[in-house]
Amino acid sequence: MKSFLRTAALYLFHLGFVRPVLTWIVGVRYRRRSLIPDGSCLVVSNHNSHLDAGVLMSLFPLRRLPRVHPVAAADYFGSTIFKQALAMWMMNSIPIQRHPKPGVDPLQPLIDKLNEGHSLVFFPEGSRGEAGVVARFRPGIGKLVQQLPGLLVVPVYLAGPERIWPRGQTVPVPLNIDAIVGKPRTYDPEDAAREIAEQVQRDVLSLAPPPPPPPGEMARPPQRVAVCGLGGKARDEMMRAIAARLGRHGTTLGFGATLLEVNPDGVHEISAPIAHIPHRIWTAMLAKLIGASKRFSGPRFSEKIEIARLSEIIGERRSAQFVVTDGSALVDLSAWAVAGSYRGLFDDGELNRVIEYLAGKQKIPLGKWWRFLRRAPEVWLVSEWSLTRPPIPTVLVLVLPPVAQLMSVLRSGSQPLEAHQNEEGLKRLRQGYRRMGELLRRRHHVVVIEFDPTHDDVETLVEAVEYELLRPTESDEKSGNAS
Amino acid sequence: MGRMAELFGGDARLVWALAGALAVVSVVAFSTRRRGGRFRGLPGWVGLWWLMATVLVLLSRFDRRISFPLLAFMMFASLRAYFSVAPVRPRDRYAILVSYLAIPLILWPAFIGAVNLFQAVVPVVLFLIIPVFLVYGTTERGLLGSMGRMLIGVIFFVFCIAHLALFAGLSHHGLLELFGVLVLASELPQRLAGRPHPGRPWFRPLAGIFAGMFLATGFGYLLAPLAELTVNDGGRAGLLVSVAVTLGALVSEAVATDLKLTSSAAVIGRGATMTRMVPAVYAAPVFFHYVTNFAP
Repeated sequence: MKSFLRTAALYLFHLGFVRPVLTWIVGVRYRRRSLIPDGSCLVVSNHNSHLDAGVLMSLFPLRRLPRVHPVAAADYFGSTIFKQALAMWMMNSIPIQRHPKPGVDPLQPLIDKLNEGHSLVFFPEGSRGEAGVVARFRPGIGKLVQQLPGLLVVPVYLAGPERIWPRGQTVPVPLNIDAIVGKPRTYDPEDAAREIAEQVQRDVLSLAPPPPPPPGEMARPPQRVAVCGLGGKARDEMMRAIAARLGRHGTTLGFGATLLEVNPDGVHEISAPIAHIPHRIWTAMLAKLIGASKRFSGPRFSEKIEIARLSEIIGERRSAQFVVTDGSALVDLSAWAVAGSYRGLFDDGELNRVIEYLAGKQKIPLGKWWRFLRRAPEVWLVSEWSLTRPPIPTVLVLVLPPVAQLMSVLRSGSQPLEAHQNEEGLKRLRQGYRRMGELLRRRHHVVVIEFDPTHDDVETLVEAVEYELLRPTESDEKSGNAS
Repeated sequence: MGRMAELFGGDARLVWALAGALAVVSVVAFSTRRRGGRFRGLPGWVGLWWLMATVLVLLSRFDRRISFPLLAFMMFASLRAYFSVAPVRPRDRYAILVSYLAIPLILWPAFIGAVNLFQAVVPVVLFLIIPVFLVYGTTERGLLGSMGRMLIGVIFFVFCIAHLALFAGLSHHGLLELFGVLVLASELPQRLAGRPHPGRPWFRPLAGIFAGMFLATGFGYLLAPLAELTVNDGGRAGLLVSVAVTLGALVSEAVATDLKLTSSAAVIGRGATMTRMVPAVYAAPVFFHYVTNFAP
């Protein structure tokens, strides 16, 4: 009977108050809500407001409500009968002792619930704290992960509640909330609790949208460096080296296997790979459907598109001074098209149009669709489905090792060789990159630096890139900014 | 047709005209959506207009106890979306609350049909009372910036939209549907041609503006008798609405640029209300005052 009453109170409160308020008064927008797993999980988020628990609980479908429990501070929510009834009955919370007695494990009730297949909403900061500031995550989350290996943790970033109902304010003011859900993941229980907490915090913060810049004069768009060509590992290392150097002069973002943020304080690596989001699956499916994945396998293609999209957004937000990417959708797809299909078929003028199709400045005319679908389906896909508008880089680094050496490296590897990985194919690809580099240099004034990892020095390359980006431009000199 | 007229009261042909205009813009938006650039925003704009058209028809034809709460919610939701992207000082949260509370206060005179009271309440509440909540007890800097950002939102989403409610009390029937058709006729060519931007060629945007004026004036002449206006008044109203829509678009684009709302991807669609809604609501006071003062 008690259990029935509790469930009834929970549903009444959520159906009659929490969800209508969140939908109509606050206007919560959930991003990637479908990533919430069906089974038991631990939802972790930043915490600035009493609204947070309700928003996170509403990520779950109604039928799962009785099996979802926010973790609430026993000392705060147990202080009055009203708070206790609200937290324990209406919100289905589990109390946790923030200052437990010696010998008592405060996490035990949480472990029991997770073992029963229930899900928890957990705020590792411990309290609401200062509005808009994410405090250091406490090691409790790490201890929980250590005791439950394989526990799925879902990072969520909440933007907005700190403005609606921050600590110390009595009256909430309706504004929109964004609840951004990250990819569920597990953590290594062998790591120290503090280290796990830091990893979780990084995963939550990686979901945060860039803060709105103050009104006034717009900052300059970022200068972009693209490291393209052959030799995947060498490219990634070069991207890191260039990003690390440019970070000394201003905020620099590096896109490769992982996302780097470099500023004068140092290199901050976001350990999770570029966030997995539904439209990437959609892109991969499209690529497979039209056969684009013959050259770029589905996930690689969609990853490339994802990086280009992020880079595009960063350019529009102007929140970074430099953006360094391992690869460039614009250069790579064009070079592959040149190497794979358009050998000798396209003159420079036509190739320049391919760049314009990719950059979204022109659409492929209907009469040419079949030609593109057959020979360069990736270009058709990017252009016609407006998947992205990859920006033209300021500096293009072409990594072009000798073909013979690259072949010996590929043969010695454990991976089976792909169709294009033969001497003839790699030569064509090398020529394709060179031709693209030449075209970008002549028509779009891109600084192109060729790099042979067998002879050239990475340090010299990094210095050359730094020099090209920091030297004053003609417009700077005219406006007197050269100093 | 007869049954529709019976259902709605008055001449229902303007409802069909508005539905037809919406169908045309929907087809145009659907067929051009993949062309990227300025065409990217068309489906979102059309989606919002289906909602706006529903509100206009409800205001014009249905009981105010149904239509006014819906209009009030539309004002609240758009103002909330604006305040979510417009940075104001944390201490100005109570001024935001007062802005929301101003919505029912301003709609009340319109509900009881007291136009004069409306015209007295609006400036007093919006321009005299709200600033008090911004300055009360503060020594912080940034007051004027915060006040400007707050009041421009209130002007767009409370003052301008509230004028739509006033039409419900007029003896003319169908003015709101006519207004919807005129705004769509003005906006569609402008959106297809692109907005004027400093440093870019002006020919195409200007052609869009003139095409919008021509279309709106033409539709004004054609549809005026259905809204109990003379053809000349209808034509002039179309021209005025078109000019107001153009000015509203310029103002909203400038505000959106200053708030860095140009990238829908970056602001997760939040800032879209500004550029989609403001040109239309900017024209509402102009149309209302023209119809009541110059074309009674």
